[in-house]
Amino acid sequence: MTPLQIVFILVALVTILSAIFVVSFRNIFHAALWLIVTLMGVAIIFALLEASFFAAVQILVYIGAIAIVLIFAIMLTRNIMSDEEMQINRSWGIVLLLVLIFAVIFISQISSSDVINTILIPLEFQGQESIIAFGEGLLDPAGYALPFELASLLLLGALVGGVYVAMDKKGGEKK
Amino acid sequence: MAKRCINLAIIPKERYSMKILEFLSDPIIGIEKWIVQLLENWGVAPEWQTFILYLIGAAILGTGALLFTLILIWAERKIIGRLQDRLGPNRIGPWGIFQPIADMLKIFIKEHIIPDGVDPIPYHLAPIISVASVLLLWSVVPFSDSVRGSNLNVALLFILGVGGLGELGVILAGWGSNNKFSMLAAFRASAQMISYEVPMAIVLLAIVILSGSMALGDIVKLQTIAYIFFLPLGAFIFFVASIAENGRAPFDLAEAESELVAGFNVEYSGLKFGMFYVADFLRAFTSAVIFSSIFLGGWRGPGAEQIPILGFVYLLIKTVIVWFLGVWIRGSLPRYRVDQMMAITWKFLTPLALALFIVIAFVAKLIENTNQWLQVLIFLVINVALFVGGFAIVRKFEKEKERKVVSTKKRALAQPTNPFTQSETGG
Repeated sequence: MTPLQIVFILVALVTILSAIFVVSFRNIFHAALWLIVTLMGVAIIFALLEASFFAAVQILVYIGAIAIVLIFAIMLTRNIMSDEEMQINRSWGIVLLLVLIFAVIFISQISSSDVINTILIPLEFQGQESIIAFGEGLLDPAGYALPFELASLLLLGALVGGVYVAMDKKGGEKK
Repeated sequence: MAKRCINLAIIPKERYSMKILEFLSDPIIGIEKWIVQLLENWGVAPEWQTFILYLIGAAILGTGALLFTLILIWAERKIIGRLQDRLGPNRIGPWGIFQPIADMLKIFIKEHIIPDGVDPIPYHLAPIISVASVLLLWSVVPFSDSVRGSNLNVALLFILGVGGLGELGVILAGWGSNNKFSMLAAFRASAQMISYEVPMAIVLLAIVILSGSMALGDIVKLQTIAYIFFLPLGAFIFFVASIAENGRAPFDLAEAESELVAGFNVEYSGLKFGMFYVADFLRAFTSAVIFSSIFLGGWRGPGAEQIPILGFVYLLIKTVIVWFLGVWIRGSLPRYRVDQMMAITWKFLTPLALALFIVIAFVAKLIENTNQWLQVLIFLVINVALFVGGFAIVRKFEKEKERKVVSTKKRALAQPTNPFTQSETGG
């Protein structure tokens, strides 16, 4: 077993466990902290796959921005910090059963398809080339330019909406 | 016959001395080769060899950086003391040089008080995250042409992201210690850090445009002319933002004693407080290292490519200069108010950085194939014009306030012990 495999197994275990903790912890602040551990684990898995750009962006965007905003939202919202919130309701047993059935069906169906059985081969990119290829793929009309621009339009819409919600409605009135 | 003997005696000796010189010019690679040879002789698999080497390197780098903080703390206290007209530490050892070691021992044996009602996991995790987020940054710094943790191809993103983990430590500390003051301070500190990350990231984008690479090793290697001449305004913005990011004076309002007791780490004592303390001092030096790598050409200097050990020296000299500038500012400027601090980044640094980025993006493409010195000149003009223009706009909308002149009487100065100038007032 190579060291990379050992690291992968450890990180994968931590990621899965912390993901379970996110949905099972009663204290919502602790759940947010476990979410950060999960995101960090995903970042490390990206790094192990030599997708360093995604690893860095995962840390920068998901932990550095989204998780922090989440924590702020939790801290600034009153009365959701108490431990009385239950993470499950009465019908958890039947849901678990249904999920298990669906999981078995999905996994048995998907595992026979070609997508799962593809053998991954390492890319031949050195240093900056992978990032340059990624950038060209995003901005190339034959590549993913349209989805990329649509996503940025969506974000712009969200930004304008946020500004509108936060804006003082009586803007014309002088204080 | 005799001549031949002498020749035979000399040649191996020369070779030996050559080897010594070769080793001394690049000792770290030499040691690395020796360890690889050793592991190979022990029959260790190649992937485990790299793993063990990285482990040793990380351990040495981390420990070295932490121990280096001892000197930094002493030097900073001494310099701040001089700036504030005091002597600074002067009791233990010559010039008080062993003061941080005494402090360290004290912090080790101090009682560790855990206040009532803390949230245990965040409370105990916060100091570790604070230190780790700083130490992680050292993994991408190139110390010489050959010696570096990793030539990560997204080093600049890594710096921003991992530097952002420090915010997490601050928030956890503020939340975990069950204290309203530390909570408020944590909000302030993290708001400050998030805000100042924006102009920093934009300036780094401009650097990526200039160098065409996000790897710190490549960026240093490409700087035949240091980037501070291309982007003096960018360097200025980056420097101010990094001071604010570190939460040092004049941006130290997260630990304003008069308003917030002592910031997000009020409830920490003993070794945990020591970790925050070390992280604070080390972060200042680390951002100086990154600044000198990005803008001042890192290890580059005359002869650094032939004799890699010189690279360390150049990097250290450049870093100490930048770091001293930070300490100087810390000792000289009063603290900003919260609204002023926010105004500086959102109303001045961020628009300026955005304008700089847009102009640089256009101009860099236009003059791509011209002479490098011409490029420097053009960029310099653009930077100065933007800086002057930015300041003019700020000045135009500034409202002047009448302020009372506050000053004190002249008083005796504390002076260093100097055998040449024995004076009445001190030393």
